[in-house]
Amino acid sequence: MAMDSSFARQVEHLDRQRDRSLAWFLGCFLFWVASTMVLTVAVVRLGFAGRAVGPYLLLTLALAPFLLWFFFLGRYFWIQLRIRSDPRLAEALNDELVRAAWLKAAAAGFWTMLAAEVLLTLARLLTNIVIAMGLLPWTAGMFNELRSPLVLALGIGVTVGVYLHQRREG
Amino acid sequence: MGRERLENEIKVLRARHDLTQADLAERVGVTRKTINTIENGHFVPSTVLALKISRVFGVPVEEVFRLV
Repeated sequence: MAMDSSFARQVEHLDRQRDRSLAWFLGCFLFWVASTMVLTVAVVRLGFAGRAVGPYLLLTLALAPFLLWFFFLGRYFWIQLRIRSDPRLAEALNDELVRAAWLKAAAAGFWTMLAAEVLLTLARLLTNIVIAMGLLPWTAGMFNELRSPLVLALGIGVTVGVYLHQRREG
Repeated sequence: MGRERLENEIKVLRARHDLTQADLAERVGVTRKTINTIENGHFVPSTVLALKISRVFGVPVEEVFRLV
């Protein structure tokens, strides 16, 4: 009674490819965001430019994950388009487990972004106090610069991470 | 009441019907991963999916799923 179905194999293959693309996207995206944030602090804030090769090396290293996350995101959408072109594939590959996983992931991403906003506001307040005390002057306005990329990266990172965690096999 | 969980006989029924997870997944229109997570109790299926699964095995839904 067991079936050797090419359809089942196709579903399995696309499902694995789709999750793998997302996992690669997440890893490269987070590395890229982390390295650009380190660069922002190191080069812009501490003025390392021209005196050390570290930031330039980091910039070069950050370029590869940038291109890679872009590639894997594109690949993910290409797989999605391929899936949507076949109604039977679309139904099987966007089943209730996928929908439930995205729902939980979106909720986790939303609360993470909210928590990050609160923590960054507190951090800004704290740095203002520290600066007023005459300490760490280079931190002035730092959290304003890092706010958007950090909140966005946390939101995307947690959403995709929770989705992939939900999709793991038990 | 909160401690109740859903157990299932999918693995036994699959073996009886000589079906792989992929076969069952194809018949009910979901991915093999979904069948695997249901079978292992990590995911609670919707009523529609539970009924589809029981229909494949030709048994009432209570014979596939039960609350313990």
